[in-house]
Amino acid sequence: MKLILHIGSEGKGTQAIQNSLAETRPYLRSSGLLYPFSLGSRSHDALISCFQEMEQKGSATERNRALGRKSSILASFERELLSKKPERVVLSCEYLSSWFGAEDVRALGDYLSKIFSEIQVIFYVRAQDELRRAQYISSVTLNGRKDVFGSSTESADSFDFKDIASRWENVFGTGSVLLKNHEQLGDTLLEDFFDTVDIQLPESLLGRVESTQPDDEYVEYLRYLNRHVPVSNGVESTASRNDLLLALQSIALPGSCVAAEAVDANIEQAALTDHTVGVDGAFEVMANLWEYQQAKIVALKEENLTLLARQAIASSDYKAAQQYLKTIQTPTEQVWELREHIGRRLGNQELIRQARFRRLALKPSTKKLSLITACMGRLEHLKQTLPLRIHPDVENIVVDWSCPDSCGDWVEKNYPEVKVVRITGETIFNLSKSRNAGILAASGQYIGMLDADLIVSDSFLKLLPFLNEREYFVRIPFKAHIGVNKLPVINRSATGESLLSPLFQWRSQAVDGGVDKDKTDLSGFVVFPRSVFNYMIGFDINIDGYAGEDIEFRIRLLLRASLNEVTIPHGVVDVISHADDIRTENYEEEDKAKSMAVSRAYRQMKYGLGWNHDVLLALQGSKLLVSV
Amino acid sequence: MKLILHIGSEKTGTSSIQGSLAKLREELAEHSIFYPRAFGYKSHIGLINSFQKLSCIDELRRMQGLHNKAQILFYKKTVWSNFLQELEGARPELVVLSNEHLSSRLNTYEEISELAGFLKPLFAEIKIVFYVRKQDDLLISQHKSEIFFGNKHKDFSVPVEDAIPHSYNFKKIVGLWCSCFGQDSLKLVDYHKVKGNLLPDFFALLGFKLPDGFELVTDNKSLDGITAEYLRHLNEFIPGHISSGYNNDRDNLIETLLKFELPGSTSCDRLGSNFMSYFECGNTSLSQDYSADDQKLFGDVEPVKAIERVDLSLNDTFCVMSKLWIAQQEKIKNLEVSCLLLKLKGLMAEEKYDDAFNLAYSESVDHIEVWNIRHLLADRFSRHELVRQARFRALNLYPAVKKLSIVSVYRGDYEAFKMMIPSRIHPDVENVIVDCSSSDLASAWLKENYADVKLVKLSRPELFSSARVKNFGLLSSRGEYICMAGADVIINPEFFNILPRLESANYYVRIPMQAHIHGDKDMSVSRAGVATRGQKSSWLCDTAGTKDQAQDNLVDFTIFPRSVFSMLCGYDIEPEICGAEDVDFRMQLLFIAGRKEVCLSPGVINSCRHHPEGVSPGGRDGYLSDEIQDFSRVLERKYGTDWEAMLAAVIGDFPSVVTDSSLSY
Repeated sequence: MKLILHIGSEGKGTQAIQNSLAETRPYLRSSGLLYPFSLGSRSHDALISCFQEMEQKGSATERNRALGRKSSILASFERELLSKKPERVVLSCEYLSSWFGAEDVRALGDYLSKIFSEIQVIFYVRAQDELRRAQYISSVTLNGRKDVFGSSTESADSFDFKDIASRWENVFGTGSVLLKNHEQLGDTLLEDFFDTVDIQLPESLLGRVESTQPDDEYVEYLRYLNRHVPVSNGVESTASRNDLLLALQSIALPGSCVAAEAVDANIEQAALTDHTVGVDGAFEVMANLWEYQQAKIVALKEENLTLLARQAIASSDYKAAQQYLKTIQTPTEQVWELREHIGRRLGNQELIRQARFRRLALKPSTKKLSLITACMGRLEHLKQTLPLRIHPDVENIVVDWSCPDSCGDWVEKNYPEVKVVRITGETIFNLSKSRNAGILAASGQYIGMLDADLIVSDSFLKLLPFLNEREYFVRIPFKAHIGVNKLPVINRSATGESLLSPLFQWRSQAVDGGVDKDKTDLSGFVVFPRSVFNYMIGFDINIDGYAGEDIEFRIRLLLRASLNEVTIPHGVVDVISHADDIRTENYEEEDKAKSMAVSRAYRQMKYGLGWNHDVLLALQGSKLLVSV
Repeated sequence: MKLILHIGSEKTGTSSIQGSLAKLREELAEHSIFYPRAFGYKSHIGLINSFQKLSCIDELRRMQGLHNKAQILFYKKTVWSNFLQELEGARPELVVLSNEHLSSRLNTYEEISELAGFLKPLFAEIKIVFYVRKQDDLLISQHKSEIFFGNKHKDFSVPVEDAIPHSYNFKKIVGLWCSCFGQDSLKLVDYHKVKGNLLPDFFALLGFKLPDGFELVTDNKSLDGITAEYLRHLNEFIPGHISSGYNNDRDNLIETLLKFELPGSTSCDRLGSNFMSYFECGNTSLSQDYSADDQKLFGDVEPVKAIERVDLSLNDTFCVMSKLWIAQQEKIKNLEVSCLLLKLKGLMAEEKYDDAFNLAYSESVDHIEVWNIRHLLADRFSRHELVRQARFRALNLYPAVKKLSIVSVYRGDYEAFKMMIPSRIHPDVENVIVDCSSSDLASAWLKENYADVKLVKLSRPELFSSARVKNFGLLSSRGEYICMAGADVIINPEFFNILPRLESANYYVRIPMQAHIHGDKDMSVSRAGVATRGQKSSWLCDTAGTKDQAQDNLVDFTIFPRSVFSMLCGYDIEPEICGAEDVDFRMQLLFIAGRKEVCLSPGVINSCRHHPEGVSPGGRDGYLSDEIQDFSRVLERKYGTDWEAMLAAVIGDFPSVVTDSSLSY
């Protein structure tokens, strides 16, 4: 049985070799080569604890334990060899080259030569300054070294490769040590190693390059922290230590690393000084670490609450489950899924709706904008307007609300990229419900609500790049009637005209400033970020007649979602003119005026008297999104 | 209906006043004094958010979810409507409204007069109460307060004239409020005069006497200079408020910092004398207008001459960074355990035992409850070695109730037992007896005479090996240290002197047991089955001790920290090792737990009687000779063929004998 013994040197290259060997164990086995588990899953560091002289092993506790472990480790190693019967074995531990003195090498050699008929030692060397730096980094990261680079005097022996090689040759025989220059190999190190062990580099490793050394700031902050954060609990490295290493890799580390005066002309001085880190930088790192941990704490608290809720649901204690879930500050999709589940169990439609919209807000975006058109009996309009809405950044959704013209079929046939939501079996149109059905299918970062007769111009789509903030929603300035009727009051003299132009509509339009009487159909147009559903649900389904749902939605965009309103220029969207009577043909209440009156009364009930005045006051000075 | 409108100022005990008003709401109501809820439960922040100018979206408004004008207008309408409803329901004689920001943030005539416009129609009389604190004193207090609440704050500096905030100009504030509510409506109170008697003074204004013994616990924690300096630096990166409102990242930051003794050095800096000169004229004028006894406002208050400066070194900063890190990691660890437990319980409730088992053993969590669940799961899958591991790991984690648990196995030598128990009673000692006898004599005697002694009664002891029986005793122990002693071992009073010396978990204690070896060089001779080869080898490794055959049953006397069970699983219950489990346990203590052996001087404990060779110290003739086998092979398998040499090498390493009753580490 042949042994290939890889003894280092230290650094990322060795780690890359070990990671590759560990990852490809089954592949190696199929080629008759064993990379044993029993001496370590990745690196065979157990060789150090088994064969290094006792004096090197620190405290009495560690020495005792090492003694105890040695026999059991080697016994497991032998068992592994016996059971797997490999032709060749690779052992790898970079510390063998730097930590093992002549006696240690001899002890190891004595042991291995009893098992293996042939032993080849591989030793990749790199420039001594690089090696020393790699050793310094590993002593700071793994051993909790506290002093600066160059402050302790490492034995020159550990950098004398000739001496090291002869130390191994003395034990394993002349010619047994294969010395290779890591620097020259560069990115082909892995290929070279696999060539040396006579195994083809597996495909999964092709092109893999060794990871880079941690940067100097990382090492320096860690070195400072080593003064105060214990590396181990006396027995083993703490989990907290690993978390610290991960945390420092994840957060911003200010400071600049400058090479101080070199202690040795050949060795780069890599340590930062107090001056370069600075108290302010340290506070920034302290804050970053705190936030990193706070994020973990919050996530764990919320996971706990979710688990408690699951437990409560399992025992049908929905009230308790609700309480747990409500306490979660930043609910995930999973949390809202549970709340929807509770809603279904309790038959609470409001909760189900809320949960659905919150989940919608949390879904990742696939497009910039989703345009939603609810359609019942307006296929002719849709045929004219839909083609103009097609754009690579736009997701179009058509809600076929039991459309007598089967608009969904037409869309699917002619525009397969358009998403169709079908609601069947309805005889009466409900704009709020149909819009909500469309919204719930949307995945755009923004959502635009359009009627079937709304014509989108090229310039509208040019506005897309300007939709980049979450603090506003977009409407079309509404000026229609004002140009004709300067006084925003209700004309109560004629047959119901006062109801045709409810106070809010008038005043809303008054604020906008007035043109074009024919364009009232544009009042329902609105574009808003999907994230509003973190704070509100969709259109109010209690408004089930013609008109008013858009105004109510607009109020909630202001009050619940805390958005500000901006407008887009006139002419960016237009509308197909059509007869007034088709507006209400699919509603139960065909009298448009009555429908609007009911909606207005409902809003007053919901928001109190005077809401229109307040909203208008607040909207004064609404800004233009952008002039195209 | 009258109104008392308490407008501050800030840092004049307003939190205490408002907290007390809220706490005493019901008592006040009984005296027809009404402290509304509509504007806020404790502090009436709703007044500020309603009347500050519409364009101002500051942190107070953001905290209430007010980000645009529409929301502010709706909010204002809603809180006023609620207030009017409350008022209608309460119909009090006196209403109290209080918020300290009224004086500092309503700083224009328009804002205050709009408030007056709302209030005046409701109340026949309105009294504005305004507590003032000397400006230099206020400046320093305000500085710390702003740091406390997470304002990004440069190092302390004294503002110059143009940069002095409105809230320091009492004269101007008084002028504004008087112009809106009338000259006589304002009562100015010198905070320094009432400071020690703040609450009674305020409630006296309402005509209300505080209940006897009334105390208020406030949330406000005071920061010392060093803590404030750390927090000031951290505020730069973790401010109290962010655009969406309160910054949750700040949760517990102050509480955590306050737990530590924070490093840093302090010195004093002079506070420039110019600062108070800006206010002299205004303060004098206020004294003339509002002082009943012609005393000058703040007349008796010493000027603030210096402010504490804190210097932090880089090392100080890293030290605190580490403390915070460790404290946070502790919280994370606890939460991770809690999550794991919930997941495990969930899986077990769903009877997904395979998943639960895999989860329980995939996480390296060392926690009693987790070990208890692992115990249940391992039991379910008949993984006996894991059951034992789980029980001993849990044992390691139970909090210590006594310094030492003395564990003995009683097998029926009643007379010896009655002699032994009294010698072991000590306030710092928990006694655990595993009763393997066939009678209830000892149990009954213990119950009657020593009810505190913990009794583990085995109903069918013949089913259990000596190692198992000892493990029962161990598992019932809750001492910080555990002492294994034969049931016939008498403990001399001086033994207890070592209790305070048991202070390192890195050691265990034995009695040197070399007696027989010197007399019996031939290792192959088994001394009537008691001293097998391994037993002798174990003793051989001891370097001292007197030849005293009477004491041979002290061989298994051991004291060790309970924490060894973070690595060990009690006595080895393998049948082959039975009877020499104490030797194996010694090997485990040395080579697995990595503990160092120290010895107790002979004579501190005694066997109460000598047993003939071949007779069990427990009194069951032939017990050992029946069960002891040559366990050397087992030890070789466990520790390698050179286990004796290993033992000798390690024991030789340490000073092992102590000549008095104290331990020497």
